[in-house]
Amino acid sequence: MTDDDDLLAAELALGLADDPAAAARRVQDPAFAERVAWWEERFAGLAAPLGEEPSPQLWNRIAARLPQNDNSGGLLRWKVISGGLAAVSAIALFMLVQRPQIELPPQPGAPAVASLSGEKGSALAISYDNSTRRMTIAPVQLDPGKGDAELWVIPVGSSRAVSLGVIDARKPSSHQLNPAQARLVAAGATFAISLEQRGGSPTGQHLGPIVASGKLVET
Amino acid sequence: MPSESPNSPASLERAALSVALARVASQDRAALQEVYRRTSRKLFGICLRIFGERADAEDAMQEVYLTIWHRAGSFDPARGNPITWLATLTRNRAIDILRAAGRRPTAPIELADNVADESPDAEAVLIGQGDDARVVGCIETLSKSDATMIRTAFFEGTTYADLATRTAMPLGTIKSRIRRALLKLRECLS
Repeated sequence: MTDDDDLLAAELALGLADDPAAAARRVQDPAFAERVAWWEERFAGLAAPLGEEPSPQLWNRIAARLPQNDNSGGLLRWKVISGGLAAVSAIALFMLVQRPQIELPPQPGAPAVASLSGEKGSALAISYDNSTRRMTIAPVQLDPGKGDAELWVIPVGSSRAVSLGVIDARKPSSHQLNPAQARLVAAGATFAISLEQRGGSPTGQHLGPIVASGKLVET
Repeated sequence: MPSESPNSPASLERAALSVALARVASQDRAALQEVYRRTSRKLFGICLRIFGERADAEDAMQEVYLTIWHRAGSFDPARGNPITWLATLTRNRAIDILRAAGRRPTAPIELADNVADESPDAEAVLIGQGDDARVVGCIETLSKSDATMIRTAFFEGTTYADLATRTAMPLGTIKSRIRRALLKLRECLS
């Protein structure tokens, strides 16, 4: 990368040059795109907080403008289709009662977070919300090769890894833990990823190499 | 770049935001609220600098978070830092709004002097702080005029041509000054 190229990357990141050719190059040339991203990341640092906060009502104004939950649209269809069928109406009524609150809780429970990494560059992030037992896994870099990536938890005070199952190595996924699993997953527990044969380790113990690990931390 | 331990606060913050954005992509409103809780101060700082007025900055913030709601799926945690992605999105969206309102800033830019600002403050900022503070510290090592122009470009989306008009300097002069400043900045940041 010559200085001229790098300057072009910086100009593009700042928006100084109204240059369609440079914008196109960002799409076609990965090395150049990396430099633009490097500059963008540096310049983003200029945006340090000013110490002023938006007004407390701002979130409610944003929330009010979000599209309604899909569930409520589905409910409307249910009511139309159900017509005079008592059984279906009963279901619709049940759904009406179960209809999710549009109002969000004022302060959602901050989930615990783990950042997993390993020597070979594997990395992924996991968040876990204890109140809903919902775990979200975002792979950052994870290559299971021809097999599958399996997630393990080593609970606090234990040295035994318990499988939480095979995970999607390519895109973020959400998992609902059962109560038994949820007892193992608490702040301080360690997550680990091993590479296993397709479908995961058949033995209940990891057979393949551990490629990433990290501790669950309250945020 | 300095390598970070996976459990450093910055790295955890990044992980938390990446995961929250992934949940926003699946239309999870609580996840957007979490993104808001973690980022609103910083993104408000960007909007406030661009608009100058709190009311305008808050209107822009609404558009910014609606854009995040719709575009969260295009954030790829493998390819970038979520904070950078959000800051860049915010800046671009805010500048678009400013332009759409026909409020492209045209105020003359006063270029104070040509002396590098070697104040001890800049040194202090550089030592022992995160990446964010680093660019703030490095920009202080440029001449005040160059620093002003780079800040203006970032916060107002000005092109070289805009800068030439607003500083009443020839386009060629502006271009070579900024390019020299960018090289100096890169040396400080690397």
